[in-house]
Formats: sequence, C-alpha cells, structure tokens
Amino acid sequence: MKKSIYFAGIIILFISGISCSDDFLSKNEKNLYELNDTLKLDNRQTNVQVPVQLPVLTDGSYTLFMQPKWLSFNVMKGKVTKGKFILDFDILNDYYKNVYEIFYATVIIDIENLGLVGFTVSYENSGFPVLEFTPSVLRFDSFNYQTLTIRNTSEGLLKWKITDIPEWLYLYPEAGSLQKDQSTMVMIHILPDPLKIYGQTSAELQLVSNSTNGNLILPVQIDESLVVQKDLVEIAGTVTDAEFSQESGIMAVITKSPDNLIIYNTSTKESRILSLPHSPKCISISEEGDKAVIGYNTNLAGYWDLDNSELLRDYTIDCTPFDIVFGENGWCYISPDEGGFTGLRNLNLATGELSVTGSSSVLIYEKTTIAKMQGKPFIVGTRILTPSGILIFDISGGRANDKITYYHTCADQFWIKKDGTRLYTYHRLVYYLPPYDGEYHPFDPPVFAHIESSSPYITSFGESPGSGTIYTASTFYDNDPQYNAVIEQYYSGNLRKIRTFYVSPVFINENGTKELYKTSVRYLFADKYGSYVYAVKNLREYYHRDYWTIETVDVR
Amino acid sequence: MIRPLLAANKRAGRLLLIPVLFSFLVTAVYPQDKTISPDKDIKGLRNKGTPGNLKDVTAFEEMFTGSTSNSRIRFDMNAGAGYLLAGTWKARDALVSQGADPRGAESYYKNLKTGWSTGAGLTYMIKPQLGAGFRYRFFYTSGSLTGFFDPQDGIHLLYGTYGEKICVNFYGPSLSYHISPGYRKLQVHFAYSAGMTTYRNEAEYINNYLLISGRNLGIDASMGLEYFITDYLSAGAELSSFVTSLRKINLSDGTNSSSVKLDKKNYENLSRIELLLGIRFYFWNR
Repeated sequence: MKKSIYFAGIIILFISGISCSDDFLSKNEKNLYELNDTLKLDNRQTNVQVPVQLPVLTDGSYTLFMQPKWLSFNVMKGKVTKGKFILDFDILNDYYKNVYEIFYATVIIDIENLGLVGFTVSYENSGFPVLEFTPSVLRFDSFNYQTLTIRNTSEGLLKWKITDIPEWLYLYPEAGSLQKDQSTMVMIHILPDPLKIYGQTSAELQLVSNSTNGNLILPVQIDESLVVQKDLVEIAGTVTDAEFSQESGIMAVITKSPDNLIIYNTSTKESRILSLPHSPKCISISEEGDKAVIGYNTNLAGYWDLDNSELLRDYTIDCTPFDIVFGENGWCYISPDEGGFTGLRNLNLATGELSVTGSSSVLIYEKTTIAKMQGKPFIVGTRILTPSGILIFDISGGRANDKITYYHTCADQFWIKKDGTRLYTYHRLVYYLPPYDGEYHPFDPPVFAHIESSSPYITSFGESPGSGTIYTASTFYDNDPQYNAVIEQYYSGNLRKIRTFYVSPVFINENGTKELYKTSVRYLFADKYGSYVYAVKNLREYYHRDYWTIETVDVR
Repeated sequence: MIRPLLAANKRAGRLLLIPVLFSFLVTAVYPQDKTISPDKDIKGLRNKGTPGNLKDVTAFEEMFTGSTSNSRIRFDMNAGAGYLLAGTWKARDALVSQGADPRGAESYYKNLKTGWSTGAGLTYMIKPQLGAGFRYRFFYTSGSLTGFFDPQDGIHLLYGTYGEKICVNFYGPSLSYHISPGYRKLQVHFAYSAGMTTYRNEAEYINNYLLISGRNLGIDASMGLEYFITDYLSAGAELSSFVTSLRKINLSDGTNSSSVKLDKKNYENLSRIELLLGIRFYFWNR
C-alpha cells in the first residue's frame, strides 16, 4: 500500500516538473549576424553550389531558416566545419518568368553555437537577349562623328557596355539596356588632340553584355591622314634656322645635308627649294618677306631675293656667322660664331663694306643671339655668357652705334614683342623692353609678368598681334616620353593661358612599313590674324634622328 | 461564473449532464427503500427467525447499503487519454494560408487534439454513498509540424517547426456519489468538481518561442466503474468530461510579457472528454 502511494507521489512530482520550466524561452536569445557579401545569381544558372566561409571557425550543425521563394535548397540541414559549409540549391527560373529585373532577398541560416547568419542574395533575370550591332567595323576618314546601332533581337533585357575605349574616342552613351526589339544609337567622336598624342590608327572596342552570344568586338580604324596632318610639309635635311614674315606669310627655312633654302608660302602651301652653295648657319628675312640674308658655316654671307628665288650677292666676311639680322636699311648685322669677346659685324649689302661695332668693349661675346625690333632701328641681343645680359644696338645710322645699351641680367634666349615694348625670355620672365640709351645698367630691366607655361623654359615663341595672343613651346621635356609636346596659347595682355594644342606625330616609312614618331616644336610662328600657328618640328630628341616637318595648327 | 462558462462551451457543457442523468437512472433502477433504509429490512430478516445466519445478513447488507466499501477515505489515481473538443478548422486554415502543407496541418491539429491525461482525488466518505474531497487533473498534448511557412512578404519562405506543448492543470473540491449495482465487488461512482484551471502552452513558431498561459474556472464531471480487488483496493475506469475556456491569455517570450483579452469568438476552448483507468485506495473503516 505504502509503495503504491509513493509511486503515485513520484508521478505527480514528475508531471509538475515537466509542466513548469520556462527554459525553452532562452532559445529566443539568438544573435543575428549579417555577412556583407552578396550572392549574385542569374537566370542562366540552374544548380548552384556555393561554399560559405563564416568569419568565425565554428563547428556544429546548420539549418536553413529563411530563403527566397525562387530558390530550392537540396538539403535544409548540414554540418559546419571550421566555419565552412556548402549551400547546394536550384534556382527556380520560372518563378519570375518574363519579369526582367534584379530581385533581392535574404538567406538566413541558423548555425548551432553561433546564431543566425544572414546574407543578401540577388537574382538577375534578364532572359536570353541577343546583341546585334551595325556597322561591324567603324572606319573614320574624317573627324565627323559616326553612329553605332545596338539592338536586342531576342526575349530578355539586354544590358550592354562598351569598354576598352581609347583616350582619343568619345562615346555616348557608353552603356545602357534594351528590351526585345529595341535599339539605341551610340555617337562616336574622334578627339583630334588625343589622337595626335597617342598616334593610334586602330582600336578594338569591347561590347560587354549579357547577350547569349557573349562579348563582341567592334574594330575601329582611323585613316592615317587624321593622325598626322594632311598638309604636313616634309623638310629634307637638318634645319639650322627659320624665319617668318607675318606680312607676307613667307617662311624661310635653311637646312644642311642638303644645303637648301626652303621658301614656304603659308598662304598657298607652296614651297620652293633653293640649293645653297654652302652649308647655311643662320638666316634673317625682311619684314615683307621678300629679301633674306644667310650666314654660312664659313666666312661667308649671302643676300637673297626670295620673291625671285635668286642669289643677289655673296659676301666674304672676317668671321663665321653665328646669327644674322636683316636691318631693313641696306645693312645686315652679324654676330660671330667664335672669337671670345668680339664685336658686332656691320655689313653694307650694297657695297659689301664690313665694319665692327663694340670691338673694344667687353659686352659682345661670340655666339651672341641677335634680333631686330620690328619697324624700329634697333637690334636686341643676348650672349651665351652668364649672365647673358640684354644688349640693345642702335642701327638708325646704318652701322650699329658703338654705344650699346646693356642690362646686367640673365635673359638667354629671347623674343621681342611685335610692338617692341616687351621682351619674352627663355626663363618665362617678360620684361618691359627698355629704350635705347647707350648706357650700361648693372641691373634687370623692369619685369612685366611671368608666363605660367607647363614647361619651366620656353624654347619657341610666336605672336599674333591681330588676336592679341602669344604661343609658346618647349623642348625641355623632349627626352621624357611621358610629357606630350604641346603649343600653349596665352593672351598677350595678361598672359593668361587660353588653350593647349597637341603636336601631331609623323609616320616614317621604314623598310616598307610605317612607323609612328612623336615630334616637338623647334621654331614657332603665328600669322598676324591669329588664325594659324606654324610649327617647324623635328622628331623628339630621344629618337636621336632628324625628320623635320612644318605643321599648321588651326588656332581659330 | 459557471453559467457563462457553460454558455461558451455548450457542446462540452452538455457532456456534463451525462453523469448526472446516469446517476438518476441508476437511482431509479435501485429504489430508495433498498438503499436508503436497509436497517428496516435487516430487522425484518432478523424478525423472521434467522438471527443466527449472520453471513446472509451481511451479504444482504452489502448488497443494499449502496456502497461496497465501508472505508471513510478514498484515494484514486487515474491515467488515460483525453480528447479536446475545440474546433480546429480555423486554426488549420490559418496554418495552411501561411504556406504549411494542408495534410501536415491536418495531422498537426489531429495530434494536438488528442493527449494524455492523469488525475488523482482524495475523498472523505461522509456516508458510504456520498463523499466530498479534492480532485486534481492534468492534461498534456503536443504537436509539431516541420516545413516551409510563408511570412506573406511575397519574397521569402521560412523553414522551421511550428509546434505546441500544452499542459492543463485542474484542481478543485469535489462531490461524489457511489452506488453498487448489485454485485459486491463492483461499484459505480459519479463525481463532480469545480475549481481552478491553469493553462500553459509552450509554443514554437519557426525559431520564435512563446509561453502562453492563462487560468479560469473549470468543471469536471465523471462517472466510473470500479472493481474491488481487495477490501481496500480497487481498479476502475471512468469517463470524464471537462469544461473550461480562457478569456484572457498571457504571452511571454522570455523578455517581454503581455496580456491579451480574447474576443468572444476566440475564447481558448480547453474542454475535453477523457477515458481514464486507475486504482483506488480505501482507508479508515467505519
């Protein structure tokens, strides 16, 4: 009897025990972790196996807790080993049939000893589009834009994008999407300046898309005439000097090997080549462009009639000319190539009389660069000494006056403003050009401004009075291919930069194939109207070879 | 309190009448004078000149005193099956609408309606036929359904288990009426009890766990038949109907708790019928 009562008591206690525990509610205290990765799926997949690596090396079992309706997992439970497990599922592609967009959902996995781990899954249903495009090849023989037509010819949403676009091509739009039977036009422009820089004549654009026919290639071919200037003037030999007359548009270029005088009419694009009797060193032409004096690599100077392409007279002088100036007064002036401290040679073109100015001074040195002020009886010069100084000669009396104005400064290479008021220098400083006074000034002339060019030094200069603009170029970076050869345009009034023009490369035939070479400017001239700039160019210095050309740059 | 309880469980409430009617029926079959005034009949037998035959007199007494046992204390323990009477079709449809498999939902609620039940009672027999005491009943049922559920966001499916573990405790005073149908080793009894019912439901809804609890008055009516193995021990079976429903429930997820008053249509019906087997102990003879 007692045993029965005890037994009954135990049963009642057991029942009470199992019916009063709230421990199961602690299962609600699960942590939720979110993985940053997004699992990207698309309608071309059916069965997918995705390895999952958790950020923690946990072991235990996992159960899929939440999933999108468009996935069917082959197993809902599995094992996690050191934070790794594999999800194996099928994509129910019919779930979003004919709805072409990207769907996002969340997968949450209940992982033992860790909690709930969720991540985003995307499903892109783009159907099965087919990309077709016309034309199959883009051929440019002008700078006019061309259009490319892209079409989706099949069911689905075509997403396309054009890649591998070279710097010298501009495309709009570069990407888009198309429903079935829709098409779009892509405008393709050639950018002339970058085309010059890169000098490429072909490219292959990649048409990247979700088309069932995969990514496609669109060849682009550029006519060579677009890469190099059509009317590029080739110059045989090595250019030793060049001068330009803004009044006539005549450019005179002298070369050695062969020894030639090339008279190039920039208006008519015609040129005449005159053979010279000696190797030329320097040239100066009249402001009207009808006469020229040439200094040879020997004790000789020549006087030429450019209009008639004839030699008027040769002169024997007492030195090898380094530089020469046509004086517009029946005289020419020559700086010697050697002799240390020396004097300026005055050559009477009519009589052949030769005299020396400043021979007793220590102001004039060999290899002095000289230039005449346009419309004024003065010559400006700088020496190769340090400092180079600024020399101003008075030639109003024919023979240069022995009294020389001198400023003790470092100007080096220089260019005189057409109106004679300023002096542009190699170091980018612009001086007010002081008046001739025949005095020695142990200081700088007043400074006007500084040219903010991309290169620290200027080696070529041109001025267009009609447009109030100046142009600079430099060979300072000529040995460094990463720098492009450019012509920079500024307002002459405030020296503010306006534009940058890139210098065209050239093709040179080598053993039957055309090789592209980059060039740089050595002489720069501007027409007086501000329409064109003429660049006498050579190959860049790192090629260590000559190939001279004249490029006309439209700066309007 | 009982009236609205019965009104809310009309079908279950009618079950309470079965033991009542049956007790009246039994009383009618065995007339009052045979059961209520045995002393008179015994005296009659004795006056008929059979005073020496005490064995016959005792047998006669046992036959007509209404109760086989002459003990003052009765302790009974029962265990068996219970069947919840609440309708589940609404809940089943709701579960199906959440993406559950219809057959799984059907099976889930079928399992949930059937549970096992235990109970115990301690009765003081005021008279051999009439007792008063205390009655305890426990009912447990559970069900679970594992599969996919639709959170109705148009995008996702949830995979997990939908399950419930329901415990219903009842305890309260009882009145019982015992009668012997004519054979000394058999006894029929009827018991009525009204008391407190506590409800506890450990619910799992796809990784969310919830404790649902509540309490209300309940009524239990039972009738049983027992066979006396010895004078102090009998085995019996009883059929019981239990009626109650919850008007208010408490919800707790372990962190947050709240109380919800249920709409009249949504009262939690815990009424059930039970078939129990058990043993009874009899102490303290008169």
